[in-house]
Amino acid sequence: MVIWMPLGETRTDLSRDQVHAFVRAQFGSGLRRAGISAEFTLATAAAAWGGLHPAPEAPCLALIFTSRTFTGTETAACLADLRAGTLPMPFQFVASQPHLAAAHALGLFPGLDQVVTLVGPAGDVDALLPALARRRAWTHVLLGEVWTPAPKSGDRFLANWQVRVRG
Amino acid sequence: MRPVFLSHAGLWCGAGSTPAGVRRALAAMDPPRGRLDLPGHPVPYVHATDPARPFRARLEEALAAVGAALDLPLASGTPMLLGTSSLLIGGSEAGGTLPEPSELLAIVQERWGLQGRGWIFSSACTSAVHALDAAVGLIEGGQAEEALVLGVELLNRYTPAGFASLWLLSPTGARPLDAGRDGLVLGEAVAAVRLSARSGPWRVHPPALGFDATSPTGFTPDGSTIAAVMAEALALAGHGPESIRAVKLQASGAPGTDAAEARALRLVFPEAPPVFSLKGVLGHTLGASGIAELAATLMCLEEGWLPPTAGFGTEDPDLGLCPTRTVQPWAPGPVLFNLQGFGGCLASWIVEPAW
Repeated sequence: MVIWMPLGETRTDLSRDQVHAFVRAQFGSGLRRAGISAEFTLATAAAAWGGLHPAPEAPCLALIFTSRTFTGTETAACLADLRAGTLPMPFQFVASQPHLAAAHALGLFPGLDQVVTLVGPAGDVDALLPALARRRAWTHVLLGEVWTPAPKSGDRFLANWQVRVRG
Repeated sequence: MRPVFLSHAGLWCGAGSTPAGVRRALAAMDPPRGRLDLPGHPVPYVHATDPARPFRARLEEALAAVGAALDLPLASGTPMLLGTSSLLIGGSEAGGTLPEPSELLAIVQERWGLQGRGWIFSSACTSAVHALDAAVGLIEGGQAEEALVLGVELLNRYTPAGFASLWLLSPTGARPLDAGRDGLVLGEAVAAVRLSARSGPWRVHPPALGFDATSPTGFTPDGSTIAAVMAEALALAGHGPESIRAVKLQASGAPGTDAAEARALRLVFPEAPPVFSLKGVLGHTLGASGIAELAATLMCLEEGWLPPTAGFGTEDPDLGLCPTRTVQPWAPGPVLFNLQGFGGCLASWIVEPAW
C-alpha cells in the first residue's frame, strides 16, 4: 500500500475582513465569480502549496474536507430569499456550494488534475487516502480542512492544509 | 488489484421504490407529474413520494425501501460512502439550523445496523460516483471486503431555486438530446449499491475521473474532456469501444452539456452502441444520480433490455445522435456509464455481467 507522508502543514484563522486582504495578497486581486468561502479555500491552499512544496507542477490530487456550514452565510441568504418569496441571487447560490472552489483550483495549481470534496472532518482520511489516490501518477496530495466556527455570522474562517508526498 | 462486484442495488425515486415499479416506469416512459412552485418559475419536479410528506419521513421511507433491496444486515464494520449535493437541507428550510453532515451518516448507519467508517462526498452531480470510486478502491486494495455506496438527494426548494436562478431548469420537461431541449428537470432519489470482493452478478470497474474547469456549469464544447474520461474508463476495464453494448448517458436536456457529450461519443466510438438517458423519467437526481441511474439501469439489464429515452422526440442535426426510443434488447456485455457535474467533475465507468 502506498504511504502518503506529510511534508508540512499550515493553519490559518482569519476574520472575514482579513480573508479579503489575504486573497489579494495571494492572487493580486479577488477571484472572479468565487464566493468568500471559495476564495478562502483557494488562497489558503495556494499559500500552503507555495510554502511547503518545491515543485509547483508536480501531479497532484486535492482533497478538501468542508461542511455545509462553511458556506452557512451564503446558504442562509439563499434560504432567506426563498422565504421572502424570491429566487436566490445566482452568485449567492454558486457561492453557497463549497465544491465549486474546485473549478477555480485547476487554473491556480499547474499540476492539479483532480479535486475531491468531502463533507465532514478529515480525521479518517488516512483510511481513505490509499483508495482515492491509488491509480494516478500523483506524487503529491494537497489535503485540507476548511470551516467556520460561526456559521450564522460567518465571521471567522479556518483552514488546515497538509501537503503529502508519495512514499 | 482484486476485482469488485456489485451484488445488490436499491432505489427509491420518482420511478418507484421497487425494481418492478422502476422497470415499469422506465419502459412506459412515465413523464414527471409533480411540480415545484418556485418564485416566478413553476417547474416540473420528479417527486418520489407525496410532496407534502415531511422531510424526515421521506428519508425514513427511502431508507426502508432501499434497505429492503440490500439483503441486510452487513457486517457492522462495513464502510459506507455517501454522495449528496444537498445533505439534509430540506429539513432546515423552514428556519432551523443547518444540520451537521454527521447527522446524515448517523441516521443511515443506525437504520441499517452499521458501525464502520463513513464518508460523505459532495461534488454536485458526481458526488455518488466519487463515493463509488472510493469504495471500489477500498475493496481493490484489500482495506474492505464489502462497502455500501449511497446517493441521497431529497426534496428541497433551495437547490431547485438555485438552478432556476441560473436559468438551468426547463419549464416543461426534460428532453435529453432532443432538438428542442431547454433545460433540466430535477428529481429526488435515494439509492444504494452493495459492493463486495466476493463474486456477484455484476463486475464494477474502477471509475475514471476527470476535470474540466471551462465554467462552473458547463464543459469544453468539443467534448474532448468528456471523451478523455470515457477512453480512460475503457482502458481501466480492459475494453475497447467495440466491446461496449450500451452507454448510459448523462444527457439531461441541458443544451450545451448534451451537445458536448454527444461530441464526446463521436470521438470515442467509431460506431456508437445504443445510448440512453434516464433523466426523462427519474429527473436529474444530482448528487444521487450516479448510483440512482446505475441501480435503475441494472434493474432493466437484469431482464435483458435497455430503457427508452423518455423526452426524446426529434433528433438534433447538430448532434447526430439518436438514443433509444423504445425498449430495446440488450446483448449482454459491458455498459459504459457517463456523468458530468457542476464544478467540472467528469466520470465514466463500466459495469458488466459477471456471469
